[in-house]
Amino acid sequence: MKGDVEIGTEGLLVRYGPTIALDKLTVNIPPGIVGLLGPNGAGKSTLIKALLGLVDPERGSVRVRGLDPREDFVRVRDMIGYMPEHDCLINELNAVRLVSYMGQVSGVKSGSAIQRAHEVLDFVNLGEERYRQISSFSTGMKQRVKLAQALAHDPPLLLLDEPTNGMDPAGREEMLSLITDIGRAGKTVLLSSHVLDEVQVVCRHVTILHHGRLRGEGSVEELTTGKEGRYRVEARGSSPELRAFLERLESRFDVVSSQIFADRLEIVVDGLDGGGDVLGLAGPGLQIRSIRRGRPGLEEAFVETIGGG
Amino acid sequence: MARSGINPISYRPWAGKRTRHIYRLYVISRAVFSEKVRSKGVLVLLFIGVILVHAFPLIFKVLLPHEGLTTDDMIGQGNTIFGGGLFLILSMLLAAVVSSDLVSRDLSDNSFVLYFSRPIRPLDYMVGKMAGGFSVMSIFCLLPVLAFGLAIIATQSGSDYLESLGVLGLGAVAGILTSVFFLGFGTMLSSVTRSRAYAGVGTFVSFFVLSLISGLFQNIDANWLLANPFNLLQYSYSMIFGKGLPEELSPNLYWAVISSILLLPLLVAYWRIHLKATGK
Repeated sequence: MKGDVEIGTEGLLVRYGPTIALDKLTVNIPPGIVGLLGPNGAGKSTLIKALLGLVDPERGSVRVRGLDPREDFVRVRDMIGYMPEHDCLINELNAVRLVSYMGQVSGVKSGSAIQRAHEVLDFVNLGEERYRQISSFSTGMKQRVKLAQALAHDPPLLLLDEPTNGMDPAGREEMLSLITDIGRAGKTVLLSSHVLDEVQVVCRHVTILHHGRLRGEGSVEELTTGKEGRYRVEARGSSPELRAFLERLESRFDVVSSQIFADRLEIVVDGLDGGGDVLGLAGPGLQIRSIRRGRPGLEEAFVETIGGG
Repeated sequence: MARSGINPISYRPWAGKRTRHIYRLYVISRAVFSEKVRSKGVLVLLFIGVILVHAFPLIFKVLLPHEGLTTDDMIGQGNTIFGGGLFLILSMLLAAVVSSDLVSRDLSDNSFVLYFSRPIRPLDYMVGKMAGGFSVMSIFCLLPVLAFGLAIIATQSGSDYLESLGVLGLGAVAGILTSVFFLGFGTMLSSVTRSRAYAGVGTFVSFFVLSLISGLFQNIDANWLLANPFNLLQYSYSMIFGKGLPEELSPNLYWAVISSILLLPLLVAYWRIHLKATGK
């Protein structure tokens, strides 16, 4: 594993009965805010469990800042703050008591745990509601408390599982801003999310899993930079004309993606020398509305990575 | 991206030194203890229990002339601590209330993950929770026994303090056994249901059903008396205070039953918690 790696696995094989959850996975996660992407069942949660030392790998190794989570479990877990996806808060407590309690379980002395709880609850912008019982909190408030409890012991690594789940747009934006602030504070954040726009906004590096295997990793910049010769084309016409046009393009070039909406066709094509290639293939009844150099969004890059075998 | 407020609060690091691992277990047990001793149900049971079970023997024995603390002060007929059925019934009720949500609340809130993503193993969790429950049980099962014994020793006319202290030590063992006996069973039931009510009532009903079964079969074979948890504890007190088992009972069977009823619930609870820790 490389020197600038915060979290790394090497040939990690984890099975649940006959199901392979992680298939000889080797990943290297650098410092900073890193997106962990993958469809349901890709192995994201199992990877997080492996980092916490909660699963027994059949083969391979896990390293968190150079330590094995199963052998150095106290040191590793003291380094990690985990924000689970699902509801997990103790409903009978108020936010201050919960965060203070979890801080103490993570090694904060009782004398300073209350003060620390207030600091992190201030940070996540939970006002006087912090004294209310958690059972009365909205989903957005619960997400903030979940983030606060993960920060209670000031860990250098944060594992955030769908942190914006169930939040309204303003709440989502604020949560992303909090994550950005945490990243600026020098922490490594592994952000598991289905909302790729969010990942694109806050992450500088992305790891993509599929069927327990690594399907792609790199900086967001690398993944979303348009390939040489990639173009996005929008055309209008009757449905048969659009289909014929698409077939002609597919026979000559590498069509990355295509969508036909009634009288409109949107395609991403690789391997073009310029817009003239497209115009030459368009039939007489077809309008080429736009030809742009393609720079895929993260979502497109993700779909392409997952779909590419 | 902008956060709300004119001047949003930035992230502040924490510069303190972490506590030792064993302290984290103490934190868990202290949380259980402080929550339980604020519970009205627990307070009422403790008050009634201490008055009815412990206060009268204490007053009675201290006022009468006595040479020292003897095993007859602890068990047997009359005003003794471990002799009456009330002590056992109230211990069971207290254990049902104390243990009912020890694990079931974390099951219902899915909050295991908060512990197990921290440096807490299933055994640490169980020890922390049970230590908290044990400390509450001790208020009824152990501390009054010690207070009772010390008061008698302090007012004894005889000079053999060593023997009195020995009996006091045996009384402490009996008190600890009572706490662990009921608490282990209650914790097991708390680990198999999300409902606090089911766990609490289940503890009570389980002991009641076992008593009924014992009552039904004891005429066929006297060893069925051991199936009654209350009898089992009474026989254990006899063993602890050196009075031995009734002749009609098999000692081997006694040891097998008492070991099972102490260990099996703990193993079941541990297995359940371990499954939760690994997300199964």
